[in-house]
Amino acid sequence: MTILSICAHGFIYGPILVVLIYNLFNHEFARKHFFWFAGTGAVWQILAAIGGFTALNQNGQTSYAFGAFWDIRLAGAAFFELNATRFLLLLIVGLVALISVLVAHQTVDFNRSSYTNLLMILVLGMNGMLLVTDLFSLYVFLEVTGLCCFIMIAMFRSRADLEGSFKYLILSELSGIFILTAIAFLMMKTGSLRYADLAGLGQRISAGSGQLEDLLVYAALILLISGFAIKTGVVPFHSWLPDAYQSADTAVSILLSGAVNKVAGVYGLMIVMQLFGDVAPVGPSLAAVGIISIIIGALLAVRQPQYKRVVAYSSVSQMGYILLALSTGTTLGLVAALAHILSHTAFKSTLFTNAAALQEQTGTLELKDLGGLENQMPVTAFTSIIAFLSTAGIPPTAGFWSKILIILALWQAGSPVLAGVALVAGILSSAYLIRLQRTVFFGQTRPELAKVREVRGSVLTAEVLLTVITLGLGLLYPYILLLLHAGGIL
Amino acid sequence: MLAILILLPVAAGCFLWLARRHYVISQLGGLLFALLNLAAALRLYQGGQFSVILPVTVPGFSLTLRADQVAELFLLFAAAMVPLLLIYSIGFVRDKKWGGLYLLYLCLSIAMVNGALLSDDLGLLLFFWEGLLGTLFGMLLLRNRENPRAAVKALTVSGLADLILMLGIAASVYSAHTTLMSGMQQLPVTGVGALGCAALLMGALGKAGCMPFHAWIPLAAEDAPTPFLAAFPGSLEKILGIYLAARVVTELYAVKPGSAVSVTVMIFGAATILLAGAMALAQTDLKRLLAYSAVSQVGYMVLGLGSGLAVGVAGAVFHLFNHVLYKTGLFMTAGAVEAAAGTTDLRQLGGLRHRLPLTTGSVVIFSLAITGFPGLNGFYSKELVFDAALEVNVIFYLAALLGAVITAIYILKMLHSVFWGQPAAAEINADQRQGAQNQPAAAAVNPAADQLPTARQAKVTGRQGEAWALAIPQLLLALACVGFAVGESPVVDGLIGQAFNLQERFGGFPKSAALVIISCLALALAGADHLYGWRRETAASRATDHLTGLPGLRQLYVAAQRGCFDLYVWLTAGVRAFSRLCQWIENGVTWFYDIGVPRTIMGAGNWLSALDNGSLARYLALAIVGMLAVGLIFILML
Repeated sequence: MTILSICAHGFIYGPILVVLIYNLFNHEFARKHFFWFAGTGAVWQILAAIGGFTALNQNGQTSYAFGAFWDIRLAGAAFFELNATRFLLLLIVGLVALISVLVAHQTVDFNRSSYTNLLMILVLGMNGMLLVTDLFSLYVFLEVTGLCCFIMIAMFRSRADLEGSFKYLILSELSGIFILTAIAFLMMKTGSLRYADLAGLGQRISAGSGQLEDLLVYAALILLISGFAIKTGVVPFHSWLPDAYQSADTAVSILLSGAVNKVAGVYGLMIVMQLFGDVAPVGPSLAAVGIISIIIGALLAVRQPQYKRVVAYSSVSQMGYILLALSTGTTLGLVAALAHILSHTAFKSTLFTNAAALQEQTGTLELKDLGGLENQMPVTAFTSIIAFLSTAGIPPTAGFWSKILIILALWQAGSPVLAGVALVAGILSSAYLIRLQRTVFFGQTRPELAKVREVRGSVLTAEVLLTVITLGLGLLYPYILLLLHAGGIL
Repeated sequence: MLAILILLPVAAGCFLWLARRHYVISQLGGLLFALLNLAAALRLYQGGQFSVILPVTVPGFSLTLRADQVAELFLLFAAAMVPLLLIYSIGFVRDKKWGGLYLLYLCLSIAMVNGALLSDDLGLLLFFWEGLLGTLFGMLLLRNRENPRAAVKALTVSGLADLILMLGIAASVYSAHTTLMSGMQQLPVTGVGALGCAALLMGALGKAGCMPFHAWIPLAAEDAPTPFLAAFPGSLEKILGIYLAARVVTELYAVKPGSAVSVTVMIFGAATILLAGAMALAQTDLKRLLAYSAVSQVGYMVLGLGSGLAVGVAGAVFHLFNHVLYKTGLFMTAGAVEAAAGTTDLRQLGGLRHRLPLTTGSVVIFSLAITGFPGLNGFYSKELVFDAALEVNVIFYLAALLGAVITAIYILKMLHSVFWGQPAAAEINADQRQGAQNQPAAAAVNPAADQLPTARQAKVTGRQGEAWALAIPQLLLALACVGFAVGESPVVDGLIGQAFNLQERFGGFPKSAALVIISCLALALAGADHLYGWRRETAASRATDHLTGLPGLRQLYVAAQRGCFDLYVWLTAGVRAFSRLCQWIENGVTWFYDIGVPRTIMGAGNWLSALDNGSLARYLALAIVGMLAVGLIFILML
């Protein structure tokens, strides 16, 4: 057993192990000490991602294939595969899980056991999505992920929770139908759903051939893009997202925006782009969805009356950037998309953690009830401003580098107009976030908020940790880009 | 040698500024400097031409000083004026608080004039040229720091002329491929050359005070001390402006008589003569009258130079010399009148010939000279300009002749109302008031007050006799006028003709008897008109009222009153319109950012929010629509 194989199998067995051991204890003990179990699971995920990536790099390999407990050399056996991109996304999953646990430690009270179990299964589902090498397995793990999410949104048993969860459920099922239909169409054409077999399919079909199978492949692509776009939450597939984010507990919102819609949605589109990027309309449709999403998401965010809804629509807008980067189909575009996923995880999680802090300390997230909390909650205000700067793409934050990479990628791919629109739309991001900052943190302190104190403990830790990541990445990005350049990737 | 002529006045200025409290020392120092300056200029004149390259490097320019015949002639003339200007100024500013700075600026101006006359490089010329504008601004600022309207106007108007000059220099340098004037010989007046020639001429004549760049001069006549008028609009600026214009016409560009540039310049000249003369007719203030007269006389020089003919150039330069002599003298007279009577209002003055006999004597000579009375120097130069004008077009000749009549009318009115006639009753009151309020000024005008320090005595002395420091320069100038009249032919043929390499001889009494007779008739007409006006209105100061009340002219004055001929008014109106435009644009931009964009964003946000109404059916429909849109993209692109 090498370190690499331990780490690799750990992604599958780690969450399962945590769930098994956690449920051995009696309910009261488990409820009290959920933090340590869930935290261990999350930290293990982070360590496995870092350790595995280091081991992979030292071996000089670019990818590592393995089966869970079967031999991958058996004919027709499905297998898992690890590479640098997947390691990065696994790391993000671990990080978001850790932040969610830190926040849940303070916000979740009665449902801690369920939360822990569901979190671990959710992590397992996302790990599975990231590791598999065929479309059908991807779909299976997607459903696992989705199921965990519905329950997590709904488990707090308020009416709003149920409504948000129900909408997510319905839209997700629509996406499941789309994806499953697409898989069926593809199966009709190729007889195999392995990525390796599907790659290059675009070369083998043509629109003018008149064969039904070929047309069905195109229909499958439309359905795949739409299905994953629903999961990503981009305009016009975004409607469920604000309701779900708003109604879920903040610890769950962090999971949804930080990991789930990236793994379940963006990663799926990434796969589509990798396999079918040579089909002409795939890139442009992603770009169209992306640019509409950037603008409309930002416009919607400006007018929202509630903190988490603003942040949710901001997510819609930022997902648009990631799709725009993906739509180029170039290596630089992929790197830019991954960079923005990382930046977005850091700053959006910060904003949600701030939301948790505000909810805990003031009891409300309605913007009209908040104001002038700068002096009462200095750390929250500061971290929020850093997150805002990162969202708007202002140096020296992580968001600056990822946005500039996206714009460079668009420029390099020959779409200067899109690059210009992406650049100008950054002003819109500033608009809604300035509004948010101004109403919540600046100005006159409301008399009823005068006794509010800064949040303590794990939420504060999460805020600081994420801000350190945002700023640290901002400073490290040039170095990382140089490394990528030296490695011949850029 | 050449640098001395520039550095010497600077040193003299510093000296006079340091010695500003000691009248005798500064008078002697000023005299010494003026004589040194004159000696240097003379030495240079005799030494022939040579050039020096300054040991300073400016990329694109070779800073060269050059003394050639034209420059030396003008330099000599300017140097000859310096002693008179200095003595008069030192006498005038005595014991005034701003006197030291005034003398410093005056000496710096002399340095600038010397430098500009000696510059061969156009960039260097521009440096001295702008330096003169700077000192002019400083001098106008001295007495009116709170409300420097004349200074601002002068800076704006002359600044515009200088901008045009810069344009001309740029165009000339572009077409000649050198910045040295010695390298520009008879450039063709076409294309960029035409622009360069026109802009250079305009800038140079603007400096000399040609319309429409004259606007600041009458205002300065109200605000500035009289020696300033004698020094700037009277002599230094005219010398410099006409020098450059003469250079442009005779040397730098091949200006053909009758070409577009030539005719345009002549039109400007004729307009200047007539309009400024008409304005002078209506003035009731001695200094303003003289200021407009100075502008009007520039018109003759412009007319002569613009003709492009040899006779015109000779006439213009000779007229410049004569003009500098008599107009400086007239301004000095005005200063003496102001010092003696405390006012320059024509309606309050009268009968000063008894109190100021020396001034009266010289002013008669100046008046005869300026009206072109046969036998005096102004006559000769005007006849030369008439010749040139007639040769180009008879219209220009008629304009010049009409100008001469107008000149004679207002000079007669001035002479009559100031030095003859009865002092108005108000004059005594004004005198007493002046004695009570402006004791330092009254004391300052009289060098004899050295021994009579009290204000009362100074006033008495001032009333009884004439101030020598103010009278002597006038007498010298009057003598020079007569001298130029007697030695007219050596001056025209010897000095000017030689300097400009004119082949023909223009000296001596005018050859065309008809023209002389017409001129004499014009003068007689002016005299008759003055008599008629005087009889009609029974007051010399209103002798021109029957003319200024004429239908055409009255509207002209109303228009002038409203500033229709005032370049400064045009400029400020233009600037105001421009700033209003900018304000409008600025408001538009501000509206765009403050109201337009936010309102659009908010509106779009509201509208889109209304779409997201929480209905699941709509959400599903949106998702389906999205899928169809993606499908549409596929269909369109396949």
